[in-house]
Order: sequence, then structure tokens, then C-alpha cells
Amino acid sequence: MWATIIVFASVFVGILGGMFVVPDTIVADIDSISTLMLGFLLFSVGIDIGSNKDALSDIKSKGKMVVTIVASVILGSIAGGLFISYLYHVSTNTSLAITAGYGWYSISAILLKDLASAEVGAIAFLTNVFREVLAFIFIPIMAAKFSHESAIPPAGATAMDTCLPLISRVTTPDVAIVSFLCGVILSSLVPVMVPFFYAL
Amino acid sequence: MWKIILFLCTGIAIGLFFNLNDRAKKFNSNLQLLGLVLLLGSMGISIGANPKIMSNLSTIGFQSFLYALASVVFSTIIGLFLIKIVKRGDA
Repeated sequence: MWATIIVFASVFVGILGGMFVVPDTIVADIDSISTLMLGFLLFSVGIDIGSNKDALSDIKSKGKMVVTIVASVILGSIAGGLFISYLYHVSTNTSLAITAGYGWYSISAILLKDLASAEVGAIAFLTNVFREVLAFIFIPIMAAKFSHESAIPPAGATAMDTCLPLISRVTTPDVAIVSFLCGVILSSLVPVMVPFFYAL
Repeated sequence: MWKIILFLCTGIAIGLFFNLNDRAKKFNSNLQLLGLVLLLGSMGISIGANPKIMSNLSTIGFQSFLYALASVVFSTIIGLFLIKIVKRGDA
């Protein structure tokens, strides 16, 4: 639970800082710094994973779990897209394309701005930003209340990068490997699934 | 994306080929939390400093939030269900 609080506080303080304190000229620099920071963070997570040698040798037995979680995210995103399509009377293909971003907001927004419109692109961007934020709330709760593996589906494609440090921290290096593999597969699927669903 | 994989794989290689002691592992773990806080803070700054995102949050933002919530909740529920089945099959 404390991880959720730290996560919330970091984002909240950041938003306030972005609104009132940090000058615009520095914000662009922060974006480029954060990319570098993500690199170092993943380097640190990599050391964590590599240190657990038994887990790496065990990777074949994890294939089933990886496929299970990837399928859960794909099916869950379809269900979510259909539900909101019904609620808001948005065309089904647009809805399914928006939720097929799996949390990877940059690529899904660019794709849908190009395929549909700037508004759909903006919705795709925000949806997948919120998805990442919600994942940060769900992950520690799922890991603590249910199973370690159940902390991965909320993360979607971000299970390989932005959510991986958190998953790694609240679960075990074993589960972090499953998380990374799920994220890699889901991220690879985003540029395929978004145009596929939009073309339906 | 490839940069990300390169960083991660470099870390994995170091973890694999060097036997880190517990002190080094704990230091690495604390470094991770610090990086997480800084990264989330910078994400917040990008959101807060972008007037386009902030002013539209109430309109398309709410719809986007529902999209995100529905996807995350359904993925989590289906995940809970399927993971339980797979684990039971292995046991």
C-alpha cells in the first residue's frame, strides 16, 4: 500500500510543479532527461533480473503464464472497448482501436491521429495515460491482495518499461521476468492491433 | 524501444555474470525506488505543464478515463480468472 502512496505523491507533486513552478523551457528538457532516467531505471531492473539466475534458466516454464496474461490483456481491452462503445455510442472499431493501445500512449495516439482524427488521437493518448496511472494504483493492490502474477494484467504494454520497476519491487524477480516478456509481446502487438481494429 | 531493451539487457548481463552481494542488491533496490519517484514526478510535470491536456481533462478526459478504467478492470478480472486456472493445472 505504501508504494501506491509514494506513486500518487510523486505524480501529484509533479503535476503541481508543472502547473505552477517549472518554466516551459525546462519541461522539454525534463522529457529528454526522463527518457535517459528510464534507461538507467531499466538498467537497474535488469541487474535485479540477471541476479536471479535460477529464474532465467526457468524461462521455458513461464511461457504458459506469459501467454495467459497476454491473452487476458487483449480480451480485457476488447471487453473494455465494447463496453464504452455501447455507453457512449462510439463506433465499435474506433473504441476497440483506442483500447488496443494497451497503455502505450505515444504510438497509439500517433496511429489514431493519422487513421481517424486529432480528437480520436487525443482520446487514445489520454486513455493510455490514464491506463498507466491506473496500473500504478492496481499493481501494488493486486500483488498484496491476490497473486503476484495478477499484478501484471493491469500494466498491459507498460509491463516491460514504466510499470516494470514497480512490479519488480512489489513481486519477485521471477514475476518481473514474466512481466517483461508480457510487455514485450503486447508492445509489439500495439502497432498491429490498433490499425487492425480500426479497419474492422 | 530498442534503447530500452539495450539498457535492460545490459543490466541483465551484469546481474548474470557478476555475483552481487546482498549489500549491492539492496543498494540497487533503493536506486530503483528513487528512479521510480523521479520518473513519475517528471511525468506529472509534463502533464501539469501541458495546457492542452489540463483544459481538456474535464471533457474528453472523462471519456478517456472510462476507456482506461474499463480496459484495466476487465483485463484484471479476466487475468485473475485465467491465472487461477493455469496455476491449478500446474499444481
